[in-house]
Amino acid sequence: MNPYANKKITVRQFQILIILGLIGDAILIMPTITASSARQDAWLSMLVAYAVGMLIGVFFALIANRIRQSESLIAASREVLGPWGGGFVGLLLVFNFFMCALSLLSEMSQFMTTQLMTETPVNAIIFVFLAVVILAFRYGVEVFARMGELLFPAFLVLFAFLVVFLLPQAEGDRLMPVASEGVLPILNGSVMAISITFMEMVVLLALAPHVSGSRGLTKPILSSFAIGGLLLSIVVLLCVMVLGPNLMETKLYPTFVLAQKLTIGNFLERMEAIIAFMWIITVFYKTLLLYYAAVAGIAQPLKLKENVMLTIPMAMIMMVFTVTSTPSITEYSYLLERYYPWFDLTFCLLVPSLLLAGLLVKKKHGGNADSKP
Amino acid sequence: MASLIGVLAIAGGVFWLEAPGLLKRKRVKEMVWFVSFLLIGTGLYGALTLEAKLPNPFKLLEIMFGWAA
Amino acid sequence: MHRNSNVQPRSNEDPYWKELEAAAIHSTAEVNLARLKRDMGDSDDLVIRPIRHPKSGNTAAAVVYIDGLSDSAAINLYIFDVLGTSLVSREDDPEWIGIQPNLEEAAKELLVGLGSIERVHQLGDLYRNLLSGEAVILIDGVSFAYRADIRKWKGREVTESTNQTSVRGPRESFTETLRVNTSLLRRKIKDPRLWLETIEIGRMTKTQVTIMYVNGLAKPAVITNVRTRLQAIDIDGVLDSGYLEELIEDAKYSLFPTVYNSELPDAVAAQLLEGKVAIVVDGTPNALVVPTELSVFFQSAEDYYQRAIYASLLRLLRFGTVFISLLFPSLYIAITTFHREMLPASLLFSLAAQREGVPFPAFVEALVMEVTFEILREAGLRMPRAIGQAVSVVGTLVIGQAAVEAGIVSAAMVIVVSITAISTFTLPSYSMSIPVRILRFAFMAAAATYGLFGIILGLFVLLLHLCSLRSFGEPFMAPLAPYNAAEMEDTIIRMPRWLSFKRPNTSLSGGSSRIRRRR
Repeated sequence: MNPYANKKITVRQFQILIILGLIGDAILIMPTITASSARQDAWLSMLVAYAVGMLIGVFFALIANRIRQSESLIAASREVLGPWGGGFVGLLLVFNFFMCALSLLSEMSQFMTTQLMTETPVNAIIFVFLAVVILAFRYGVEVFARMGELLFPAFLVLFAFLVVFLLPQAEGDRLMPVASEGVLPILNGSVMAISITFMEMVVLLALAPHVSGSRGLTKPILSSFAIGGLLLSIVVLLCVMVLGPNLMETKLYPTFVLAQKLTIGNFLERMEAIIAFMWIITVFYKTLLLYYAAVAGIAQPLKLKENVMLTIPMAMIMMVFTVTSTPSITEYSYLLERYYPWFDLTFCLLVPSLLLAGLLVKKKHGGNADSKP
Repeated sequence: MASLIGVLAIAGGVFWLEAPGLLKRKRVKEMVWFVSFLLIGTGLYGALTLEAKLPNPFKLLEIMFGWAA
Repeated sequence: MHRNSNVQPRSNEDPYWKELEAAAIHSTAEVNLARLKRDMGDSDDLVIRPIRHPKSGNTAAAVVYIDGLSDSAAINLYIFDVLGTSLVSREDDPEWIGIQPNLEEAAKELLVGLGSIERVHQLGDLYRNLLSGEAVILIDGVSFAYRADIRKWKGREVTESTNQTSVRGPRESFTETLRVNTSLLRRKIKDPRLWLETIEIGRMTKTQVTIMYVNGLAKPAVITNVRTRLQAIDIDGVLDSGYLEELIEDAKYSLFPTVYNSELPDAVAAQLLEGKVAIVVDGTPNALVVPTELSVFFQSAEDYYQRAIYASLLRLLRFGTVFISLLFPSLYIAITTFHREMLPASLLFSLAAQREGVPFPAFVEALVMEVTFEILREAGLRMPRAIGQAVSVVGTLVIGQAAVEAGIVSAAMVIVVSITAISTFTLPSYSMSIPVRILRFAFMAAAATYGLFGIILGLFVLLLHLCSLRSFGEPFMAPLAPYNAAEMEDTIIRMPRWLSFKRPNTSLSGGSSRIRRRR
């Protein structure tokens, strides 16, 4: 089902994967995190994050455009930085993808066990989720990109549904007073948003070599970032306007509460199944992208010709570490809030910038020597 | 105990699924890495079912970035 | 266009036939006749009409045919007439009667009367033709025979289709005779570019299989692919297109069909016009069409004859009912087992009250009812027409009611199962309803273990599988994924004709116009 690089996805599929990945877990945890610092200005935090995110998008696009000819992301880094340097950078990137995947799986399992499937043991949930992720990987990037194309309209429709039917409950005064405590809390709140939403999308670099065609990827990447950022901003704004900052801060999953507040004509209530569907789609895709990047990536530095057989062992390792990293939600959140932005900064920005530096240098010196046919 | 056997069974199943293909195509290096990963995975999973105290990977982050935050 | 008519049919690899193919026709008519009788075990329907010399009894010629397959009246009228006048006796041997000196003349006369007469040199060919209904004329003294195409047998008339009914539009359906079916398609597409190629498949059935396509519209790669796959088939017999479908399809392990089949000539002709390739099989009214997409299975030919808005709404309804048919029981199980808080309070109370006396969990209830329904449905198919229809659906309701009163299942369950069952019937294509029915059970199991989460993950697995399917080179989920805006006009809804200008991409000239507006 899968040797490496011959699979090609279209630009449109690439964009959809980015948007779904951007929304990923952010849709569920972002409101709480931004609200804890910025309270009613959470939406401003999100907008700040959005702006910074676009810059990050430019950064990624710079790299993405230059690695399109390579067989894969890690292969590109090895070409550019030499087999040892590139391999090391590759391993760092894989480590990044692995840890991000852990964080996603943790959050998914926390959400499931606390909100939707309270009686099911957490191991079973992670197990079955990972099983489908593995299956998607084994079918190949073409196939899950196509599925993304199919699910995306469904996602948008549900999103629109959510927004439209919640508007009656939105109150503008919950946004007041604006920026009452100055800019610092807003910026504080945006830090986490930037790292989880935008920085983690470094994983798109793992997809870039597989995009068909040869036109620049800058516009697609930026427009996807724009759309994803917009959707998230709407979500955070809606959360503030419908729930108010108190509720946002205390509830762990404000968007879920949003869905619980959906009423249509007094008889259709508790539609949280809707947001669950939306959210499972985005989390699934982000996890899948990270898993894909990790497994496809780890085979490269080790110079393996196949990577399919690593899928299940890697998943086992991931599952174990997911369970150990979530002894309790508070401990997880604590560790995440303190150290995660630094981790993302290093691994999602600094490490790729090494790659970018190498690519720029190579371009100056090598000319056409670095592009593989 | 039962879950440990389950884990071993899964590992065996995985091996049985993947190994023949690898052997047929004579991928020695891949086989080596596959087996090592599988052993690590099984070991960890088994340890988990036996409720051994396994490290929290996010503590690693604490070690790496503790000085900064 | 390359036609590979030099390829020997694989049916000749059978040792029995190999031997026959190699055997030559003996120059003595008697020897040949003896061989025929021996090979066919003196079967009663083998009719041998010899022409003998009145005195010596030598057989000068013989007409052989299979009773029931040939037009015996025509044989009498033409063949014997000609043979009679061609017989001469040699001057030096009045005992001898033969037609040798006038063979050419005789052949020409027969040609005039019958329209087709050819020489046969090998025994294998002779059998093939004889058993297809042609009459064989053996002549003493020469090592070949003549064959005349005067086939005639009783076949089913071209009637209305019983499986695929339509309210508006042509009602003709294919029959079991190949030539009738190809003629039905010819009548729809009167263009010289509609090409046919016939292949013989099946060692013992020697079934004629015809590939039809519009040259210039169909992609050559597809045509070659179809031809190659068909020529590679080596099987004892082909009794229905279903045999071929299994042997040439791309996704052999998938539940889903990647080959479309239909009984209606207009549906097949419409697809030919889109550049697809049709495979018509002698002996069955089901024709195959490749390559195919998922959306084709949701379309009925009638969509194209009714008004666009009506057709579009019906199509949307069909998509909706497929979801119901697939997921309704699982949703019921998931909600009543894991997510009771999603129901409004009053519904929750009444459901709880209903389930009060029921000893089984929702999953077992659903399973029992669904299996019962499948049994009844299958039974309804086999019963005589008169009672078959009633038994299926009504029977389930009645049994369901009895089960409710006995306290084995809850009333809501009966409703769920009935709605699900009826929804399954909206699918125009039977081959697509089978995967839906089977997957319904898988989803029920997923719902019973993981609730809504399980259903959603199950949907992911299903979609992944569908997206991985290809049909003769083309992605099965096109044009939904990879998305192709130009093609979407005919998938979920049907755009009116005055808005639809381009040919679909399955054809070579995809993108060029098929309707030209007159101003």
